[in-house]
Amino acid sequence: MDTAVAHASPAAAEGSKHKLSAGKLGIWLFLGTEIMFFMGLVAVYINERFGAEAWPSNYIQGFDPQEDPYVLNNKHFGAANTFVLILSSVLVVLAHNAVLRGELKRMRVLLVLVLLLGCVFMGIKGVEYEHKIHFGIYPGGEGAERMGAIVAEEKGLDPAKVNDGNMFASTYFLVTGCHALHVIGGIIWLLAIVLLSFRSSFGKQSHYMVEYFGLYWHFVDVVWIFLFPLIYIMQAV
Amino acid sequence: MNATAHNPGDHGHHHEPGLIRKYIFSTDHKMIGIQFMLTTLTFFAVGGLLALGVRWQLAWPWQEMPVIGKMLFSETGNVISPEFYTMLFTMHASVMIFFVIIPMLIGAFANFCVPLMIGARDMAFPTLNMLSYWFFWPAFLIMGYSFFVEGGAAAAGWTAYPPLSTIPSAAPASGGGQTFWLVALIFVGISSMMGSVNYITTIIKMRAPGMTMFRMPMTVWSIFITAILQAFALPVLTAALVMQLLDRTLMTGFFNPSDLVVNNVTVATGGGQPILWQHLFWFYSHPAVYIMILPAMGIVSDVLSTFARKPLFGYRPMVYSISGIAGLGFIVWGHHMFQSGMNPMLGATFMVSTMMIALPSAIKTFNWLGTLWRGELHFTTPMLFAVGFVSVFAIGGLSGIFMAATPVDIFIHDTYFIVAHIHYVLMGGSAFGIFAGIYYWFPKMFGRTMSDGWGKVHFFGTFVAMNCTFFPMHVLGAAGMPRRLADPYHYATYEHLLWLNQFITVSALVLGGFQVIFALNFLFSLFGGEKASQNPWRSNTLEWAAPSPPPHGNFEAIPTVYRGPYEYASPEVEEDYLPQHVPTPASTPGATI
Amino acid sequence: MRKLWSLLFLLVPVGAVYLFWIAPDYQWSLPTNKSSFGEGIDKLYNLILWITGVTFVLVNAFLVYFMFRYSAKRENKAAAHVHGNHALEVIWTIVPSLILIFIAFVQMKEWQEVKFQSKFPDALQEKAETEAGEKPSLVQAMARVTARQFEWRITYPGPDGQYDTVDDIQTVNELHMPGYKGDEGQEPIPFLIDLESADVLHSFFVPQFRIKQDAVPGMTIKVWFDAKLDGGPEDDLEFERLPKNQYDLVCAELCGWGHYKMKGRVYVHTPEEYQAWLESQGPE
Ligand code: HEA
Ligand code: HEA
Ligand code: CUA
Ligand SMILES: [Cu+2]
Repeated sequence: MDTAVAHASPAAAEGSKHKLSAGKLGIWLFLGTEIMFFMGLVAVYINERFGAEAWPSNYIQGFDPQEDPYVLNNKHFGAANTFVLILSSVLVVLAHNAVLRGELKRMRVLLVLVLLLGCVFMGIKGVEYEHKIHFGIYPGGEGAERMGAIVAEEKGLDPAKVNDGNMFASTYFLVTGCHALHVIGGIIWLLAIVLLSFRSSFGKQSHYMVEYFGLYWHFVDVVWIFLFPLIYIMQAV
Repeated sequence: MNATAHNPGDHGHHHEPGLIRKYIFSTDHKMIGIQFMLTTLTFFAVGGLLALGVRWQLAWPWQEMPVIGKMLFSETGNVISPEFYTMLFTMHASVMIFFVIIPMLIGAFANFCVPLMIGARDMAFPTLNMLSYWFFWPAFLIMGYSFFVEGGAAAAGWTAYPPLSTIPSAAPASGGGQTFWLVALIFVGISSMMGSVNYITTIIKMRAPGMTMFRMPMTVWSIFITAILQAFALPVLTAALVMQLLDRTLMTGFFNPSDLVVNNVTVATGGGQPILWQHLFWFYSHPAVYIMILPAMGIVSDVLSTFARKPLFGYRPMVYSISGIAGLGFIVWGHHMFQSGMNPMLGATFMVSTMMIALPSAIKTFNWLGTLWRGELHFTTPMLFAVGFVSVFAIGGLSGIFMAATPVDIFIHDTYFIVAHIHYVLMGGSAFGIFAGIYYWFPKMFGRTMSDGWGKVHFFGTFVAMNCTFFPMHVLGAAGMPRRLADPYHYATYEHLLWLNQFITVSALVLGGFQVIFALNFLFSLFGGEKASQNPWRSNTLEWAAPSPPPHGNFEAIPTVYRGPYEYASPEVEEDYLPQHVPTPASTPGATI
Repeated sequence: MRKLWSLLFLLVPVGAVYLFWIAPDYQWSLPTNKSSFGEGIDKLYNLILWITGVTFVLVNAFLVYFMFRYSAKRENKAAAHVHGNHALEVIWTIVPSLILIFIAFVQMKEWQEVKFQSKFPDALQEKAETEAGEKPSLVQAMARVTARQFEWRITYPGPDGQYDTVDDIQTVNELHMPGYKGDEGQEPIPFLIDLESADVLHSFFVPQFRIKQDAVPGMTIKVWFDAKLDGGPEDDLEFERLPKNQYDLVCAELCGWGHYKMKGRVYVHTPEEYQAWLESQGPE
């Protein structure tokens, strides 16, 4: 990348010893737009969550926690996923170091590990989704409505008028769903890098590929670190 | 993003690419700019014709349109039905805003001008640039297709307020149309996001030697700030569009309250808040109105200075003003929601911030006047449009003050006063800036000049007809006539406004007629216009240092910049202009102006 | 010839001022105001009209003059080599900002009066009564207005002062309210409505009362206004279109294909007539 733009931009060339490259600036800006996108989603979540009168909380009468412990957002799952993502973020950094030193094999192993961790994350997410859907907790689902109705009645509200169960399911799937799509996008991107790394032209100088991916992956991680307390921990209050 | 970033292939060697690569899947910023321009001009005709449909109904409600009526509306007895009317103004605004003004300013002009004006060979990410154009096409196609789906195209206003937009039973006319509308706008959003990332990077990284930030022409500055606005405001709209799409398709209820019965159909899900959409929408769409005016302001500044043969008055205050507009632009969105049921206390704070945002525009207006003062004005067509911009933008801006005043807005909100404001700033402001830019850069784009005589006819007609069309709308608004009404005369209060509306419609037809002159001038000049020299306007900025039209790679050698862009009438030289790249004995590379 | 362009630009301010000047003769301006707070709104409107009008004329005067005075004769490098002027910059930053701040702050009182619930007549009255140690009295004139596609449903609480009881009075598209004789110095009689929507957004708009408020499903929004009874001949022009003491209730927010026909009618009665009307509607 550096070489690609440098000859066309003497201004950049002048000061590019320490400044960031065009590609990296582009990635940062792209992540800036992504942050605003998630801000929009989280703003809606916070608004609905804290404006709600009968948000389903940890324990709901009528839903047997013994029988269906995954109905609500299970914080053990959330915590596990947090751990998975943080670990994978660390591995990306190591992979970048490896490619900088020209240790392509090592880099490849680390990247495949990251890829697997991404899949583990999606796996856990999948289990969560599966349970929710099984109990009808999805937008427009019967379970979501029932759950909301139970809480509403407990608080002496008219269940027809407050529909926070549905809102609970909607925001949950919206926010985690958009995040999961970003994880999937990352996995595909990563796969492409791993495949490209088998080409003979791939070498030290290609480190920026891992670097850019790493920035993106950290971003996906950071978003999750915000979502985890918002969705898994605060719902208990 | 990544895939395009490391594509050194077409960069280094400036060989001429093949035909398809040159004209269709081009990565050359100039060709992409021209593609954007031709596409948006076509859509300008579409949007304008939709507006004429609106105007027909308002002047001769429920009457058969000559000739076209039979072709289009045979099902409804040859007249525009109320459903169709709502669709007309919704699509008129959507097309004009998302397919004309925005892509014209930051697709066509930004692409064509930015690399040339900063002395670069191309954009930072040429492939991404091409993608950003081609991501527009799904939007065009989907939006176009939506006219033919069951129930017709979107009809909930360009603001798409829920629950009208989220609940299909609320508006029979927008069965699938609204969904298509949402998907199309998501594509526009992705495209614009790619564009803005590209512009910001290009402007930061690719400036020619000596081109410091404060030597950039106003056009580049305004596009830089606009791109930042766009990059950080647009994703919020995209998020909101996704949510509305889910509301319509997957039974979420972000914007639907509980317990709704619409048109005798019980809405199954809800729990959300309609006003939330308005917040998200205006969080983007208010900055969007500045996205639509700032580049036009930049163009006007450059054109005014060039044809006044005089340095731009107050260059730095101008730069600070656009930055101020952009910054404040993020905290005034609530002025669209004064009567929406939002907490009136919030309304009061939004009023204060809105008033303050008029200040940078005031500074700009005065600086434009300052530029004319003691100049040597050459009234070429681009200059006329630029001066025209100052004249009509002031009207549009000043009417904004009425609406920013919350108590006055109680009365004029959702009346034609707003419609007058919209069109003074958008048709009078943005579109005049666009016309100025087209006449100004046409020689650079195509190597030929547009006819100045016909250009003046176009300006004269547009200026007169546009004022006759839109100024009386203030009066309609003051009389309380609401917007988006298929038949205002249904109310006794507005019966007497009929003939004023007829006058407006006739003016609008004339206005359209003069745009045909423009279209013809454009087409004839494209193939038969007078050949243009490299620097026909004797202008200072770098694009005029490249041949007309510039070849692939733009410059033979990257120019070095010695001074700011507005050194007209400089005592240093004999000529009355002093281009940025021409060294004089007095100028050393490091000196600032 | 080159000077003629400035004349074209001169037409804009001249035409604009002329149109606003003659507009009242054709009733192309604010409809006759009928509410107590409407006067304030009209005053603010006129204030802004004057400020922006003068600014507008000044800006155009300079523009036209410069266009006339400095149009180029031939290319003779006549322009001044000036990059700006610090003092001017400061002046035209400070003066408009003072004007704008002034405009913003003169709005506050009126805005509070019309839209802040804490400043509503009933709230003020209640406050005054509790301070005076009296038992708060009920506000007499009130109704619930429910907007739906494409009509206005109006509910009066009936003698018991409670909604959703048997003695409620229901009307469709007809809003009856008491008015006061402003000319004879009578006190305004505030009318309070609870604005709701059953389906999509609508907006409650009575041009002559200068009141507008969106109706939002899921929310109950309190709105108040009052109405002067028609008096002298200055009202006559509008009577040609509207019967005396009757006004259009307009829906001002797009609510679907029938938005244009969502028309109601406001009937303003003397307090006695209003009582009589209420009684005539009540259950036997
Ligand atoms: C290019 C687009 C553009 C621009 C630049 C603006 C500029 C401004 N707009 Fe506008 N606006 C729109 C496009 C735009 N607007 C659109 C499309 C809508 C309607 C959306 C819809 O509902 O469909 C809208 C609606 C809208 C509303 C909502 C009204 C309502 O629905 O009730 C308000 C309210 O405050 C407002 C205010 C302003 C203000 C204060 C400015 C200011 O930035 C203007 C500043 C400029 C000047 C003031 C003029 C120059 C200055 C001087 C000559 C100096 C001296 C002046 C003084 C001392 C007063 N606009
Ligand atoms: C970019 C913005 C833009 C532009 C340029 C225009 C341009 C015009 N607009 Fe638009 N308008 C809006 C943005 C714009 N509008 C918005 C945002 C709304 C609010 C919508 C809503 O409420 O949701 C609106 C609403 C709106 C209304 C109110 C509808 C209502 O509320 O009921 C009206 C009514 O008169 C109107 C009229 C016009 C007219 C007559 C033009 C004229 O200037 C158009 C002139 C142009 C032409 C007539 C085209 C000429 C071209 C040809 C004739 C073809 C040439 C041939 C070839 C090229 C082959 N517009
Ligand atoms: Cu109800 Cu418009
Ligand atoms: Cu705005």
